Amino acid sequence: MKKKTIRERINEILSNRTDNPGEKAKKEKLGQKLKENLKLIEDIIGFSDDVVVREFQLGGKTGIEAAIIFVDGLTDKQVINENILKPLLIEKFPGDELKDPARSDIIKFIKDKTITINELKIVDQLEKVIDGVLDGDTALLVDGYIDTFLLNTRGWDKRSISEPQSETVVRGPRDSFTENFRTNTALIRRRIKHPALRIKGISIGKYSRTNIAICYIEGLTNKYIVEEIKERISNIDIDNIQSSGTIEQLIEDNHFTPFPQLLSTERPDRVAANLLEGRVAIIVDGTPFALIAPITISIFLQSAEDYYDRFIIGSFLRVIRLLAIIIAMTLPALYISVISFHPEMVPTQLALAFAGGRAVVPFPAYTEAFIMTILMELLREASIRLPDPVGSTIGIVGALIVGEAAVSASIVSPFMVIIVATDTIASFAIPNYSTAIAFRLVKYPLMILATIFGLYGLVLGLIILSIHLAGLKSFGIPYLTPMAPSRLGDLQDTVLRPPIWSLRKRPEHLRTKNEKRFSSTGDDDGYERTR
Amino acid sequence: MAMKEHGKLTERQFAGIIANTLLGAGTLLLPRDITAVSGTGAWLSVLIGGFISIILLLLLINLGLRFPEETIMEYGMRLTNKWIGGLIGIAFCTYWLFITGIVVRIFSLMLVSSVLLRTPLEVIVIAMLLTVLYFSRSDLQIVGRVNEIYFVFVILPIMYALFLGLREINLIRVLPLTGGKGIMPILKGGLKSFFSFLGFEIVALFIPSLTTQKLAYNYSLKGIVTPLVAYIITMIVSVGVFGVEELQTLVWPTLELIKVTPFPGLLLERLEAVFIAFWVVAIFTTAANVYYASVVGFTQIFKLKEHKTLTLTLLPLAYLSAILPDNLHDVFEYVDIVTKFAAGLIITTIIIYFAAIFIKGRKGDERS
Repeated sequence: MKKKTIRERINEILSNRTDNPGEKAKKEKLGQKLKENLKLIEDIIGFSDDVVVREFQLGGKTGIEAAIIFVDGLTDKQVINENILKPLLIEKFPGDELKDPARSDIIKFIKDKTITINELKIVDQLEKVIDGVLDGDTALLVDGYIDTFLLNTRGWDKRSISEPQSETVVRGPRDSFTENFRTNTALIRRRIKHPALRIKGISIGKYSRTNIAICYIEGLTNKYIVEEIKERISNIDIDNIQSSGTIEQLIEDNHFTPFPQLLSTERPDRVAANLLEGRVAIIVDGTPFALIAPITISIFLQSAEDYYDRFIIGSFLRVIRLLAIIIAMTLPALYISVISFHPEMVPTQLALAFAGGRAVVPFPAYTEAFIMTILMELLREASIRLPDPVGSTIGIVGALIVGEAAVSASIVSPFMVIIVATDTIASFAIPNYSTAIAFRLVKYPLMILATIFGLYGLVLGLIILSIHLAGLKSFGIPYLTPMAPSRLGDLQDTVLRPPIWSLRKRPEHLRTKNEKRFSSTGDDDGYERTR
Repeated sequence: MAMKEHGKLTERQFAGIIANTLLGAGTLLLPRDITAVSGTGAWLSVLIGGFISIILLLLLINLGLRFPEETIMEYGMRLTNKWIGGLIGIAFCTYWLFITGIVVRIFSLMLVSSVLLRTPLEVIVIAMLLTVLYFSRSDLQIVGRVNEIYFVFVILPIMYALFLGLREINLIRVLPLTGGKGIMPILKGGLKSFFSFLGFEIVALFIPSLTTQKLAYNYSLKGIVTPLVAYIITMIVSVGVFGVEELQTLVWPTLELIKVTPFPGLLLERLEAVFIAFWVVAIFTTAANVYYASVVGFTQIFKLKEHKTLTLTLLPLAYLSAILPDNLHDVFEYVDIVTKFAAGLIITTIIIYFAAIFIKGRKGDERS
């Protein structure tokens, strides 16, 4: 007998060790013997407790062995009992045809006359069977056949549709996405009942196998954007995806920036509106947030409600939000530079009041500002993580410590409290959460610059910020789009919200295939065109 | 070369680059410098200076449009030869570097004397130059976008201040409109005002990147007429408010103009700090654009792959030219020399290249 070399033995050991069930499922094949197939499947799934295998004989006197496999908890058991087992056990199978060599008729018989399940697939690959079972399907194997049924029996406990948590509106729809993928796509489909709405699925994540849907409007959305998004998503190679936030970070254009390049929203109405403007939505299973791309800087000011109120009110609210952004970003820095560098800027009495308030404070203005803003950040972070009953305590403690005690202990001046409070309120008025966080973060470098150079430093900081923003892109579309490169047509729907009737065109920068929003000019229906 | 792909710059951005580059240090010095020479006829001097600049700009664009695929550095070296073209290119780039420094220096001097009284001048210069460095590392597209946004920030505050100043004008100080000293002082003032228009020549680098080159004339005119109008209004307002004699005693006439102008009913009592804040943007765009042009120019002369390699290398030179002059008086002398040098350089360049085209025929076009 030939002696094995060390190299061969190592290879042998290594090849034995790669018993990755996923790999194995790809390699192995289904056979005709039921017992062997069951053993193979159980072996790959690893005899997990939640996988149920039920063996039985087809109805009548045929004596054909069969088995169903499903995962307990992912499936609707009543459907399995009523619509799969019951018909299979009770139905009289044509015994004569058993002797017929063309036995595949049994498969056809089951499909055509027995099972009362609306969605079924017949597959002959082991991998697909296992994937289907793990996705909530029930596999039906019949002895003597490679062909295996995958019956859709999906049904698991899910949260019902509730009101949006982070994007509440006063006047507008109150439904929001849930963790359930199909519920989410259905919510969109319910709002766009046009055949041109496309919902294309893809599964990402080597282990998590997360379902992702890319939604767009055929014949309206720019093809290149759709292709780009599809390509970026299918290029993702990662083992685990649990949230749309992960997807966002994997497909965004620029990583080193606090600014979001995809909009994440939990409102189906917002997704629908954006789809019809020519954007693409990405829905991730297990996340109540859909992603919208590409976006530009104007979403900083937008809220879903803008379009539901009358345009004058919508415009007013947007101006307020612009003010909120400016205040949230610059107010502490402005305070530092005025107190430390340019006290002559403010009216004399106010300057005196500043000085009077600060007379007992032992720190320079910037130390005071940093103490207070960091205290505020701590308060915020604490109140988000804590359960509700304790959270209100934090509010009281914060108000007492920050509002009262800090001032009377002369750690900060009363003006500083006002400044920080205004700053915080302003940052809450920014409609989009991730944008608000970005500006909250930008505040600190600006404060440092203002500490060193006063107003000059603040402006230099803003210049650097704007260069940074000018360099950002969202799926190839420059971030500052309606302003630079300027698109005069799109500019009207940024700081102001124009009347609905004057928004005759979809955003220019998205280069939609069908620009008109009103059909009075004819040829509006993208669907007709694509046919 | 990576820099000049067609279609990177829209026409509006092109106009924005011209206007932003011109509006800068000029507005700070213009009123005193020109009135010193041509008295109340200063606005005519500015008009003449602007007119000359417009002609030179149009000639440069005409030259550039003959070589739609190349920048002035590239076709210059091809039209003449490596040495003459290279030398002209280097002259341009060096002078741009110098301008960067001088502009930053002038502004820093104003900051030190008005709002940042205790900050060392060098620190202010370095802070500005570092911002310029960050800017110059961007792609041309981003340069265009930034200029497009800033156009509003540069022009609106200046216009706002000037129009408020209009109320304070005493017409007696403005007259006689021709200065009353004959034509020579006005022409001299015209040359002096040329400094405020310097920087327009950087467009020669950007013409090949334009989306629609046909519109280059149209939009470059828009770009240069905006600062021209702003300058003329500045002249008239500052002369009207202060008078020629008093202007000579003011170091920063435009700043004083804002100081004496009352701003009705605002939260802030004195707005000069706010205006200086906007001025930072105006100065930044001037310095940054010119520095960017210098970096890109050198990159093309030495046929480097990427302009980012040079951004940091050239910054110390800009810094040197900023701190080289000892005091404000020195700065003004440098400004005078640079103005004359630039005028000579631009005019000779245009003459040489047109002559070369005339001699060689339009060979340039065939290759591209």
